[in-house]
Amino acid sequence: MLKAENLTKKFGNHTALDQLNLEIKKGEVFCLLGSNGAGKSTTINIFLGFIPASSGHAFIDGQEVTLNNHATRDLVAYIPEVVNLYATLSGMENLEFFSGLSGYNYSKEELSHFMETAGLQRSAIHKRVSSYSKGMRQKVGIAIALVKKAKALFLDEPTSGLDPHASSEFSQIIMNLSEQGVSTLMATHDLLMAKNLGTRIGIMHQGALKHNLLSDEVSHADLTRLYIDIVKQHI
Amino acid sequence: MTGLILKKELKELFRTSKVMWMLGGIIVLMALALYNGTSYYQTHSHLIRESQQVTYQQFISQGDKNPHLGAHFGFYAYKPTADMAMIENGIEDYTGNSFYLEPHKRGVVRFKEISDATGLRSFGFLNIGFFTEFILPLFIFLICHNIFSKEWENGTIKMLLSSKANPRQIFMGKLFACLSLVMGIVVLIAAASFILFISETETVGFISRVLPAYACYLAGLILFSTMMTTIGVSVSLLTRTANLSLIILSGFWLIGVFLLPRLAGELSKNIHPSTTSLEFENNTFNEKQYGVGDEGHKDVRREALLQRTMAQYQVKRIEDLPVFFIPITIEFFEDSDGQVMDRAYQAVDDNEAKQDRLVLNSAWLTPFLAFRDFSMRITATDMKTHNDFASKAEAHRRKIGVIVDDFYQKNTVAGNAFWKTVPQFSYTAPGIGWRISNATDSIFILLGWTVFATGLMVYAYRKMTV
Repeated sequence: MLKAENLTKKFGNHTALDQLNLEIKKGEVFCLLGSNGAGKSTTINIFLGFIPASSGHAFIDGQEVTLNNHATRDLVAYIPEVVNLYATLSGMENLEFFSGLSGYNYSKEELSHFMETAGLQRSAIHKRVSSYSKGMRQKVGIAIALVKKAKALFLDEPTSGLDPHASSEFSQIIMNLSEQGVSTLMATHDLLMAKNLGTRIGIMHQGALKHNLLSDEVSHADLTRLYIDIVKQHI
Repeated sequence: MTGLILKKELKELFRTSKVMWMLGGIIVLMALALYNGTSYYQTHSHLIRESQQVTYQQFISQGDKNPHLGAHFGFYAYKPTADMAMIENGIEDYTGNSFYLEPHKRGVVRFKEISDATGLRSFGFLNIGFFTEFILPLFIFLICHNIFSKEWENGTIKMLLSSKANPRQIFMGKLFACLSLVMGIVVLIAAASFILFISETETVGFISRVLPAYACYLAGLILFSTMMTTIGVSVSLLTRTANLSLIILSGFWLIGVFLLPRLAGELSKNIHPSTTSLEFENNTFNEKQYGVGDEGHKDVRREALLQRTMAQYQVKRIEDLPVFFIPITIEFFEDSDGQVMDRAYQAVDDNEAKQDRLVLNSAWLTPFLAFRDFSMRITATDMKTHNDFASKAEAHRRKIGVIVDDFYQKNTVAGNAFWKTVPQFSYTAPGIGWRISNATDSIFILLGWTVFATGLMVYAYRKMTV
């Protein structure tokens, strides 16, 4: 579903992404670990078509992103670290807006259902987003991904700052989506979450993918050691 | 997509208290501008119509007098208040509105409104012209400055750009949202001033004179407002921060509204200095003495005229002439002095035109000036229309001179029966064709700015990335 071929991004003399190769199959959750500046967000930004690659190619469902940016956007949903919504609109109005932008025209009842599936309480749906907590905003972000019926989900530090309960709820939803065949590329610092949620785990450093591991084949302790070793080598 | 974004933006705008306060303020100012303009029009048009009648009535009922002395009694030629002075009074306050018609003396336009005004008038007269030229653009910039930058500041740009909407659709949605507010105000102005025009102008005059000019004015206003909105939205997109966007747009407004026009005005006066009243008087006095082509001193020319007149009537002595020689002299020197004054005034007009051209050229740097110029020319409250009035009033003065002098050659006393044959002065500002042709330069500059705004818009939405 998602494929990167020798993906490279340079900002002036700085190489943010260096010959990245990875493949994420249908229903897989690929967790990208790495310290700040490792190239996780750059990878996501290239897949989303926000920035062009300096060389190499990114594919979504077989379509090259740069060449088919409009078509590939239909297939993806994006949830950033902080889901920034329009504060003067309600959660429902935000969802209605983004579903409309995705070309869907759902009834209010259907949209409410998506909100509830994403874990947002019905009583909060019509309140202005300015009164929402970070967790509630993340849920609206998930609802947006649900209404889009996205085939691929890009998550950039999605659980950062969430309380354990909200974080666990979030993980459950991603797993449900994975079971429905949605492929996920998630950038995170959270090793435990990567181990529990990911099908595969990548460790990035200075733009390069240092490890590409199957989650089932690595223990949490090994993962922690590998991660620390990589980071230490370059301190 | 565009419709969805437009709807969302309008929802956001109407839920922002800052915007609602601004909207309230702008509507109050607009209402005040309409009230001021209407009150100005009503007071002036009534006063001018009445004064024109009163002074002419006094002239034609002055009784038995020597025709020449009677002609010196004179009367005023008033420039009627422009049909569209309700929305734009242009330079009317500074040029004056009446011209005294009497022999030998080319009139100087008198009664400048500004001379009776307090210092507050130096800040401008709040009418619809002032409102649309200066206040509306500021409101547009305040509305537009964060229409895009908020997406970066709030972090919603990634959500927006990861949707199906392309940058052009996003830009258009936001542009149309801002335009909806701006055009809402333009429609209010149009509707209110339309009602006022209908109530203040007789139907025939409204349809034949006011309506075409009003339609042109509105077309210009819509173009100007759309162009300003496009610039505002584009700058908001390119700067990506509300503060920077506000600084750039308000700086553009400040420079365009206050600094550049004044700078251009000062520059034009330095490059093409105006003739002072003293220089004008001295030059014309000398030329009047010796004639435009230096034909000789007045006494010599008077003697030559006498010889020609006596030869014409085949007499040897002035006393034997069958007509009075004095009115012949008056008519001769009226014509000779007229040529001197025509030339002198033409030089003043030419110099003014050069100054105007330089100031108008600076409108390539400030669209506010281009729209102001367009507005004045279409509403016939500009300098060229004023000069048209002045030249027609002068032509009327000379026509009266000829009528009186012809009568005076055969009569020493004129009564009311004669005075009534002297025609009343009546002036109607030129029609829409003349006005559009007069405004060609400013229309061209406004179109140039529209091309720039369109180019900026395309450049901006191509730069729409995270």
